Order: sequence, then C-alpha cells, then structure tokens
Amino acid sequence: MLTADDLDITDADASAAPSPSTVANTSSTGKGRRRARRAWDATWPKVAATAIGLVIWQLVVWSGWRPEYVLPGPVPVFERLGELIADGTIAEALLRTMQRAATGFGLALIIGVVIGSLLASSRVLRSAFGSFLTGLQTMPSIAWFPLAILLFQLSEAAITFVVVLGAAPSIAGGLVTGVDHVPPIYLRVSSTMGASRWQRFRFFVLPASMPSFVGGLKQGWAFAWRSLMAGELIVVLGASVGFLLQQYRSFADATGLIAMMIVILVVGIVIDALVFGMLDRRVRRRHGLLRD
Amino acid sequence: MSTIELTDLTKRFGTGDAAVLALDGVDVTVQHGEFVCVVGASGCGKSTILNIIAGLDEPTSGTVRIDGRIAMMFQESALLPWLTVQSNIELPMRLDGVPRRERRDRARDLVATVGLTGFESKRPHQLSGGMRQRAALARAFAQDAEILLMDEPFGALDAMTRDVLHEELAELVRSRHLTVVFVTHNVREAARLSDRIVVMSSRPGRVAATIDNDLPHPRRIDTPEVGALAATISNRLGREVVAHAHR
Repeated sequence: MLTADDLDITDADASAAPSPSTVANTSSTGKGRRRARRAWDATWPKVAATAIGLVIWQLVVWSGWRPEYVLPGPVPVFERLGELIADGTIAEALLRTMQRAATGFGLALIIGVVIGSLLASSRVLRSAFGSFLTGLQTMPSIAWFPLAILLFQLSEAAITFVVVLGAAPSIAGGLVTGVDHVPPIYLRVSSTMGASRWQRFRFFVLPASMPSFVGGLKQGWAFAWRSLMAGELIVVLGASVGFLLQQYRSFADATGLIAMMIVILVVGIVIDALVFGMLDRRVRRRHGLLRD
Repeated sequence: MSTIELTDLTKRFGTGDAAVLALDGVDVTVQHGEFVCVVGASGCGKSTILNIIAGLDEPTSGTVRIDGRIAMMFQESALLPWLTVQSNIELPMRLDGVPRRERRDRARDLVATVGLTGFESKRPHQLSGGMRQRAALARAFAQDAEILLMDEPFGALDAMTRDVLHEELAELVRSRHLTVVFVTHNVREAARLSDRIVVMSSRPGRVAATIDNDLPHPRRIDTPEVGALAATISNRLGREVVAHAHR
C-alpha cells in the first residue's frame, strides 16, 4: 500500500513524521474528479455488456427462429415494461414481493446467526450438524415446496418457510467459516488480555469473521430471491412478481412475461450491488482488505 | 523477591516418535524491574518460554511462578485491523470495565506517550510498521501490567526505525518500572537493551549461559562497548551452534 510505505520512510525520525492534516490534504485534492472517473470506469463495461446482450437478443428475433408473438424483441418488451411501470402494476407487485423477501430474509438472518453461533462455539454441535448444514446449502429450495404446502397449505407461511430454508444455511455457513478462519494471533492477543469467553467472542472472533459473514449474507440473499420466485410461481397468492409471470404465461403474453423477467433480474442485481455490495466494501475497507 | 521464576521447565510438542523436546530443564529467574533478553537461534524454544510465562502454553513439567500482571507484544503488531488506533488502545481497558471517559483520556495519554498524536482515528493498515508497533506498545501499557513480554517486536522493522524505538522503549520501561522479558535473535539489540542476557542452545532448548550487561545508560547501538558485548554473545551462541552440529 502506497500510503503505508510513504509513512514508513519518515517514521524512522519521529519528529519528521507527516502530520495527519498534510496526509488528509494531499488525498482530498481532485477527489471529485477521481470519483467521477471511478464511477465511469465501473459503469461503461456494464453498459457495453448490456448493449451487446440487447443486440444479440434482437438478432435472434430477426433470424426468425421463433415467431415474434412467442419471442418478441427488446423494443416491444421495453415499451410494455414502461406501460407496466406507468400504470403501477409493477409497483404493486414489487411491494408485495419485497415484503415477502424482507420477512423471509429477516427471519433467515436471525435463525442463521443463532445456528451459526451455536455451531461455531460448540465442537460437539459442529460435528453433529456441520455436514447437515452443507447439505442444506446444496439442496435446491424448490424441493422443499411439496412439504411446505403439506405443512402450511398454499399460504404466505409456505413461501416464508422455503425462503428461510433457502437463505439461513448460507448465512449460518458464512458465520461458521468466518469463525473458523479467525487468525490465531487474535486469539492469543485475547488470552494475553485476559478476555473472558464471551469477551473473546464479542470483541475478537465476531468482528474478525465479518468479511466471511457478509459473504454469507450475499449468498443468502441470492438463495432467498430464487426461492421466493419459485415460491410465487407455485403458491399463487395475490398480485406479486411471480404471480404476474405465471399470469402472462397462461395468457401467452410474451412481452409481459419477458418484461417481468427483466424486473426480477434487475431487482436481484440491484439489491445485491446496493445493499450487500456496499456492506461488503465497507467491511473489507474497515479490515484493511481494500484500498481506500 | 523475584517477579518471574521458571524452575526446571520442560516442554514437549507432539507424542511418540514425532515428539520434539522444545525446552529441557530451563531455569530462569527475573527480578523486579529487570530487562532480560533471551537470545538464541530459531527453534531454540525462546518463544515457547514467553508463551509459557504468558499462559498461552502449558509446560510439560516444571513450575512457573509469576508475580504481577502481564502484557505481551508480538512480532507482527497484532492490532485489530477493524479498530482505530484509539480503540485498539482502549480495548484492554474496555475488557476490564474501565468507564468510557476514563478509557478515552488514558488512551489519549498513551497515544501521546508513544508519539502517535494525530493518528488516533487511523486504522492499523494505514500506519507504517514502526507506527503499528508503537500503537501495540501503547496497547500493552493500557493493560496496566507490571511485566512486559516482547516476542521479537522489532524484528520486521528497518534498522533506523528500530533504533528510534529502542531508545523510546528503554526510556518508557525505566520510567514505568516495568519488568521485561524480550526475545530476539539480534545480539546487538540484546546488548543495547538488556540488563542481563540469557543465551539459549537449540534442540533441546537449554540455557547455555547467562551474561550480565553492566554497560552504562544511555546506550547507543553503534558504540564499541555494545559491539564488544554483542560479539561475546555471538561467540557464545556460535559455540552452541557448533556443539549442536557435532552432537
């Protein structure tokens, strides 16, 4: 890291060490321009990739592989998407779907953290349930739906059940991995400081496992979102994103169907990037794993 | 009365054929306020002695008697990367239940003591190696310990930074009346800092010699006297290495 090296040279003579204000000054000049530059660097490849995707899509449509009422091109689909946004259909569906996502993910978070902490802190529990947790992570959540419907009928509870089962194992797994990979030096430090068992967990182990935990949250969100879409297709209750998808399919309304798929894709990406990507960067910066 | 008393200490790692005798009949006594350097080749068990004093490791046999609270410094600063310099220094006090305001004030004093004023809100990765070790020293002081254990704390630093830190450490240790056990393989460093030097032989780790260091303070690492003592230690160590090779 450049700044650390810079400081190292001057540190040999304490009186010549740079004052923090000069350090701050040099880094704040031209900050705005650099930020704009970085935003552009991050954006243009995505824009280009999207454009290429749309062109390929259009080419496939023009090739006449399928009639246009089955596979419409980008233009009618985006026109339709605009209409669905304008008349509030998507807002209403998204509201319901995101409420379910929040409930399911919130529950999964609580359950995942509790189970993860238990497994991380007890060797016996770990050897008893550890591989079970891995098994749950690889189990396709849609395989839970028949049981969920038997248990809860076609209800909100059935959807929540499957979303939780989809996300909680990843969240617990992230926490367990994080605790496993706490550098031993921190544990030694905690011992020399005379930390109690609880203090060791609270002040050393838990913060040290944050990067991995956030990774688990990211993965948990991906599973929760997939499970939720599967759930809304199977348990059709009220106007939701999955419900609209199912409805357009039964009316052979291809433009509406593809428009909804775009919504699902965009929501998944946006939540991942905005919520979990930001959390991830923040934690990694705090841990010095990312350049400032 | 002595502050640290290790009697007939033995430490064996592993079992059966793979067992390694790291320490064999080690006796070390450290008086209150004494600065003892333990020197030896790598693998001589000098870090194991520190770990046993710190309670991080159990001896296989022998007795350990410690009188006083212990703080320990490692070769890598072992500061917590997610905490600022200030919070790192406050941490031991936080574990002890010191009230927030007192914690803050004392940490601020310690930051000034080690010359890091202005860097309180930086995180460890934003500091140089020397500054990190200063912060680690301040954190060790925050434990309010009478005994400071140091495991090659300046081993990873460049010579100039190390010089400055030697001077500051010697001064701080004297003014705080600390008892120090300092592990190093750098004989000049040992001659520069110590009141007494324990020379270790390797495999199994044994105390080969104890050398008193009566050189007057203040000392500098580049004086002929320090150089001469360093040569004496080196010779003693060299004999151990040769003896070991012929064994």
